[in-house]
Amino acid sequence: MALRVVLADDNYLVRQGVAALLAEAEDVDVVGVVGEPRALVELVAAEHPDAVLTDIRMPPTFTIEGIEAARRIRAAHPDIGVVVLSQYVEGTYPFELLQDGVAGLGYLLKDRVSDVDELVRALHEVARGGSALDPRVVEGLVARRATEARSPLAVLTEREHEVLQAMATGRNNTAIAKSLFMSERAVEKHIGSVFQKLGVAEEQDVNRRVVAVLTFLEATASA
Amino acid sequence: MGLAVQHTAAMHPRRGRPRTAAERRTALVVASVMTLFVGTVYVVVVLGGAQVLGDPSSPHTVLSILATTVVALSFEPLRARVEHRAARLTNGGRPPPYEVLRGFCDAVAGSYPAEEIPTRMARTLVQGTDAEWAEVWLDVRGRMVRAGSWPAAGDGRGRAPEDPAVLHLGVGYAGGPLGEIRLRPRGGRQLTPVEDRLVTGLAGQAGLVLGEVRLRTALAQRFAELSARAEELRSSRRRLVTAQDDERRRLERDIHDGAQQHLLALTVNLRLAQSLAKRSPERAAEVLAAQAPAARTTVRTVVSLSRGIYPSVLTEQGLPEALAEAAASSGIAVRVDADPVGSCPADVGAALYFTCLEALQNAAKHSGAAEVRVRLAREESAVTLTVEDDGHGFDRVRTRTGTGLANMADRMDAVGGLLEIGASPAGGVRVRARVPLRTGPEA
Repeated sequence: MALRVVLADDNYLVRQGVAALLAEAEDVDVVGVVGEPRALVELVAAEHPDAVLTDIRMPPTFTIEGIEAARRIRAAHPDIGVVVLSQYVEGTYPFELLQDGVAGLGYLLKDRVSDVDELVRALHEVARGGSALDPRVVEGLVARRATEARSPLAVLTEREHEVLQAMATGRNNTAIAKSLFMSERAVEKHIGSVFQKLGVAEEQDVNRRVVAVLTFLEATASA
Repeated sequence: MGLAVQHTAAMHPRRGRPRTAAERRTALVVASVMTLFVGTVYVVVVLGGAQVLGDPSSPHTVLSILATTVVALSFEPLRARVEHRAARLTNGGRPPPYEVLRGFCDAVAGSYPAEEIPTRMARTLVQGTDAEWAEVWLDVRGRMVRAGSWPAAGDGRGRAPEDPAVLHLGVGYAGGPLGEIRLRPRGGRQLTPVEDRLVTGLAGQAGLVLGEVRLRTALAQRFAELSARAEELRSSRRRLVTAQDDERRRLERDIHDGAQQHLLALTVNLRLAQSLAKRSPERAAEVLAAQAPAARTTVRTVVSLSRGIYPSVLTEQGLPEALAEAAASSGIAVRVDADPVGSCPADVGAALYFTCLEALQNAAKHSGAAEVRVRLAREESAVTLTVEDDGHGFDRVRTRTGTGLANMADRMDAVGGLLEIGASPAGGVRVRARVPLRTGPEA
């Protein structure tokens, strides 16, 4: 059964292009497109899709309307996953989106929209109650922390670094093992080592693991 | 007219002048006391001494010499004290004018701050003459400034100088006028000659110290002006920085909402065409066909964006061409009449260009004008830009296009130019920007 998706973007060209592109994917059914957040919330209530894809910057203020809409939708319909599209790698937007938890939420950079496979995978992930953070966003967060003089990340090996980033994007152990070309046992070993080195309680549940990693990155990113 | 005679600052000679009744009384008292004193000394020393020595028959020569010595030594100190007391008694309890004057001179010689001296002087005058009030005015850089007054007056306007009872005494220093002393005798009465001499005496003494006070006042004024100018420059710079930040934000927004979205849509549609290519070649061709115009739109967006940042035509072809281009894309009918400006410095050209852009935007948005005229005139040592419309003019309070106007003014300020905004002959708005061109070796 195809994934029913609602799409929101204030730019007509982008909205129509992405809708057409998603419609081409076999297991996605675009059930509605809108140009602003209020219409999005209404359409979601009416259509009750499996997943929502929304731009962050939308009218009226062109700031974080998409994030607000995402959190409202998650609060009203916990079974609907939401992926927000952001223009920026930097900034506090991911934390604002994920402050109440990462389950059912995704945060992708906007230029991912042309990578339809990645997009569809993220939509499926959030619809299932998982999370999907753009690897580049996580990379940015980790890199910023790692360059600080007394970074707690300095104690991690290169491999542990990669595993930490993969964890933060919301991948499970199998996916991490596949993307990093290592065995699942090796992944488990690295994860245990990372949590121990960072002094964070080890989490087996993927979503809670993402929260733990992000919380760690945010809490120590005070400088 | 009372005593409102213009005195000169020269001190009156002490001699050759009739004495007042009070002075005569004082002199009489002093003479009486001193006579009594001489008599008493003689009686005590000569007669009393002879008694002690047991030879009362004839005056003793040594005792006479002793008496004379005592009198000679104590006469002057005693006379001064007696005169002081007598003068106070005959002067209604106030210190006598000469003493007042001496007190003032001591004060000036002492270490009072210069800015207190005018007030001290006014007080001295009031105390010495029992005047209602006294003021010291100084001519500071061509303007009369009240430097001190007694009793203290709150505002800087002074008290009814046209009052006929007010005395005006010019004070000069080193051959030039310095200011004046204004004095209103109590109840408008005439000053006694002594008081009159006090006042003129003080005016005569005042030159040197008031000269210093005036210098300090002038210096303080200059300093205040420079501080105000510096503050103006600081706030102008702050406004420029703010305007720059606003501009950057606007650019970021323009790039994000314009070019970036266009490019994103292009990417998405090209990917769409790619995925359609196998299954539905005709639809793929349709999508592709639509992308060429979309790409052209993107290019146009980027071009207009870069013109907003810095028009290349300005650097490449000069101000008149840049103005013509700005006029052509302003969204309102514009007639441009531009002299070739020759070697106009780049900052001046940019300032005039952006001022013109701002004025055209204002005209397009607010004026309701049918036509705008842009005129660029090159003179010997200045370039003048005039933008005038035939719209309904604007009520500055109502439209409050504050930042736009401040932008233009700040841009002009930055290149030493001047911005004037007024009414055009057609009843609309006229914006006139004039920049003097630096001449000399570095220009």
